Amino acid sequence: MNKITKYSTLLASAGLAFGLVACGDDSSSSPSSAPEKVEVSIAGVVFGSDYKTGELRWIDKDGEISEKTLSFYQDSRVKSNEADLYVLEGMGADNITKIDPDKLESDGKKAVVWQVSLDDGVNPVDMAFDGDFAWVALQNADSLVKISTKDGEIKKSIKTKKFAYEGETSPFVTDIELDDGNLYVLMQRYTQDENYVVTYPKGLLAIYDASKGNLVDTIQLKSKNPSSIAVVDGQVFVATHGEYNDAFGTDADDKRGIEKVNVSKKKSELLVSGEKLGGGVVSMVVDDDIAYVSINKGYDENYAAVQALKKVNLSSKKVEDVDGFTDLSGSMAISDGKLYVGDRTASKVHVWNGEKKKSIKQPKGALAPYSIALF
Amino acid sequence: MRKTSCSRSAFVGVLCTCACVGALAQGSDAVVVSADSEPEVVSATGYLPAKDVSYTEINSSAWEGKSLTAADLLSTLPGIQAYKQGGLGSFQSVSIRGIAARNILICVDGVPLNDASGGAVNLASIDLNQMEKVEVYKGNVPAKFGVTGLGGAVNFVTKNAVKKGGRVLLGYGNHNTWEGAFQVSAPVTDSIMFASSFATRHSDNDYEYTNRNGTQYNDDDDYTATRQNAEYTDVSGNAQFRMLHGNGSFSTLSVTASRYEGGNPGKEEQQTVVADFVGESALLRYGLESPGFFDDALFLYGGLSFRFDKNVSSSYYPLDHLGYSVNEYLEYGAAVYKVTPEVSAEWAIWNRLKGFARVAAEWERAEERGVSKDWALDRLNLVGSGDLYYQLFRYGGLGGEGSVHFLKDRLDGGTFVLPTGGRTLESAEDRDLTFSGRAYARLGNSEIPVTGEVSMGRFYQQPALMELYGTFPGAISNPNLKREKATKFEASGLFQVPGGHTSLRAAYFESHVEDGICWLIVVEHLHAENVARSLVRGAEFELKSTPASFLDVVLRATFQKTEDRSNSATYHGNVLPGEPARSYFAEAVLHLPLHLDFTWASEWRSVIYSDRANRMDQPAVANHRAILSYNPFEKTRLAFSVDNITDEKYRNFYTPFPMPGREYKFTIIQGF
Repeated sequence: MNKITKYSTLLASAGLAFGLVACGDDSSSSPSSAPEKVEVSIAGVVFGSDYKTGELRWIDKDGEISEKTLSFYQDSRVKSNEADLYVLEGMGADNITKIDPDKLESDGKKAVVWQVSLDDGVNPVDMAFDGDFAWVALQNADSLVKISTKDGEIKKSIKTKKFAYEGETSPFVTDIELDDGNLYVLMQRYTQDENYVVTYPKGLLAIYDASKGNLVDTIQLKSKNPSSIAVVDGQVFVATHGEYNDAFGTDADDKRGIEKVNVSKKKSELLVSGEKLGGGVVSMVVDDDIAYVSINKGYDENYAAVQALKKVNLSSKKVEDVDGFTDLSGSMAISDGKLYVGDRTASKVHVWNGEKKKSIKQPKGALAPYSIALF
Repeated sequence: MRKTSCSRSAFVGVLCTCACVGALAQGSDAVVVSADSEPEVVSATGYLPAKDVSYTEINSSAWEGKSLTAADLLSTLPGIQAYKQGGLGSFQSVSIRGIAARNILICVDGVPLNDASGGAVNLASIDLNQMEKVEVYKGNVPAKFGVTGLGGAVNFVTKNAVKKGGRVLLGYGNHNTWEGAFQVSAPVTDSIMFASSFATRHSDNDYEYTNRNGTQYNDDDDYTATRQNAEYTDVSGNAQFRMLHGNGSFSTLSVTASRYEGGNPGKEEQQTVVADFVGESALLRYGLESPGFFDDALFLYGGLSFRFDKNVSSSYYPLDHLGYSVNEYLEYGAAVYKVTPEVSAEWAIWNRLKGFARVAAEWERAEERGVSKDWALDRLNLVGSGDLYYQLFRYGGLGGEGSVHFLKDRLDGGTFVLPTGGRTLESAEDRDLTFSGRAYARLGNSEIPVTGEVSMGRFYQQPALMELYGTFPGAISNPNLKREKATKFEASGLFQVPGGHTSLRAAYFESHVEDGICWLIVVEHLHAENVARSLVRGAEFELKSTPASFLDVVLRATFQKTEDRSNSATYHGNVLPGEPARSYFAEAVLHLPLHLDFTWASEWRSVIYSDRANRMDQPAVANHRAILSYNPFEKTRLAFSVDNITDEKYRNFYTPFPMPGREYKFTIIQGF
């Protein structure tokens, strides 16, 4: 009998959730060109997914997750510019939605300000805000686009195909940051064959003029498969995951870690090695010069993620273990010194205040956290 | 790597042979070779009166000229729910009494279609025009099919070489949907009967629908689109020889072949351009039925079947946007070979004790097709099953039905776990011996109008090969999968109102399923796990009546409560996917003057959810169907049908497979 339709469906489902590497950063340092921070009636949002369906819930000022939901595509990421909320629906949906966070509780779906559809399969994964505009990283496309935050209209695009690796059409941009007029674009640059065997060259950082879209410079990274970028006081830090080992985890070696990029010298050096971190970095969030990184150790016998949380002082290079976190695959976000961690195994959001871990109260049946954004 | 084990030309050859030999045979002298001398009483609605209360038999008058697919037809029965993904040829499956489609055994002429992948059998490629009747076992898989599996069984029985005659069927409907079928059954010699059939179907499936452009919260970009790359065509044929031997035994040799091909159109906002699927299958079957021994107290049967299935899908990401963005033309699929020898015996040693026993072996081999790395999986099944019934007293008796199942898997090359190349499996895991069975008490006999049955059983289902050792792209293996288990209780009864014009059937069913297998995404790949645990309780009712000579009526209703009882905090307490709390079916056939018949059928079901999280709701929906048929001559029938009269097209935003809406069809059937 015909199983083909089923295969295709399964394949599509798998493909849509197929990150291959870390999910990029989820909320790095505060966006440099975001609107003025305004008082928003909610503390943040949590997008939950079971890879079949997805839902947006919000965290109130008392730190509780809402009963109400707004449905979105199962592979979506949430971003905030400290005034508005954006939902990036990933490959298979390929939309951007702007939401007024103050109206979520009272107006539900009417809180949607606009929603625009991008080209099929472009897979938007990150945004960097620039006043009334925002750059959008399209992981599976050969371009980046600049949209108006007023209506979502595309105003400019940057072609990135020339950075694609060996026959690929996309350089697989995983994270972007905007700082001092420069758009930092982090490219994974991998290729995979028809059997999903992936080959990685070293990662690449491309720097563009954020207003004109011109290429300013490119810098080859020291290691492979970068996951996150953060710009702190003009200093550029890149976290890399590196290649997977046989257990689909990463080895604790110097082939991955946190790199510090010297833009003027066009050079990137390993600041903190994977050996010190205990493996490759899945994602990184930065608050001043403190970085929290999730480390991919692999998967247990039940295929649950085995990860570790490390606190890294980017100035002193000191690495500390943060105990009590074993699954951070539901993303991380940081605000006001509080680290929010999505734990997909426990299907909870934990908050780390620097001393203690506490789980946020959530309604029964909430989908496991997949992406978190804070205001 | 591409292999072609069954070429298109071979299929066409078989099909042509079937048709030509059939036409020649028709001219021979007529001597009917038939073991079936009992006249069947068939109501105008096409459903035979039930002898076993859990069993329903549907004959061709229930679907001919009515625009019904196999899934549509089955879901008219109480307790059965259908799932469809679009028009003709799109994926279709059924669940029975809350047991998921992947646990339902689907057979053609007793040979299972469920294969190594373990998923639900796609009913779309079953052409009802090839079928004589459909046997539906809602309670459990009966002993003659092995008592293996959690759910019921559906057996499609092809046109057979029993009665002399034939027919031609032609149909045409909107979206350039057409079908043609030809059957003939005729004696070749005094002792050999031949039957052959050929059938083909096609649809452009180019219906219009509202494309929401993937933006749930933006209505401004919605537009009317036409379904594209959804064409579907299938062709099938079979030939059967039935021979009476000198010692009174019968031999049956049959060959069945089919080929189907269609576009894989994708979802509403991401229509594809070149993605398609192709399937080919062939079944060669020989059976020997003994004459009755010891005054017809014992009948023996021996059979051997060989089945081949190949399914390949292909897509090109830059045009199709299916799956992950590999910029090459990709072909994926599998070929499955099955060889099944079996022997069985049916006996009635004395009036009070009846029994049936069967021993079957099945060797199954699955291999890659398309661009996958080489892999092959083998499975050997040995199944012994039986049914024993003892009539305790005049109006009742006790019975038991059970099976023992041994299986051995073998990995024949390939990497079966992670795509990174690690954790390569060298050998398959040993599986436990599996026992399934049920005990039942049956009340009533043919002398009284009431019959009933109460049963309780424990059933097991072994994981399929591809669930254990998944090899298709994006999937990883789980060799530690356990057997799925179900404990089931059923009580059913049939009341035949004196006079024979009305019957009422009712059943209560309850199933507790443990270790059900679900495909989850873990490690960014699909992975089968024993996470499902559920409880289903329900009742179904059926009233069939012929209150007047010009009217036949069928009313059916299902009430059920399905509950996810898994350990997942997200899913626990939710309704099972695809299962409504209520569903109703009503059909009336009016026999009008001037050889006209008018049939009206309405069905309704309450809300269902497409996902375990119960987020993807599909609201309650009604479907109405009308058929006007004209029988100008004894063997001629013309029918015009309208299905989905109210043009229901709703689909949840996240399950956006557009449906064809209202469908018209004109059919002419000429018997001879």
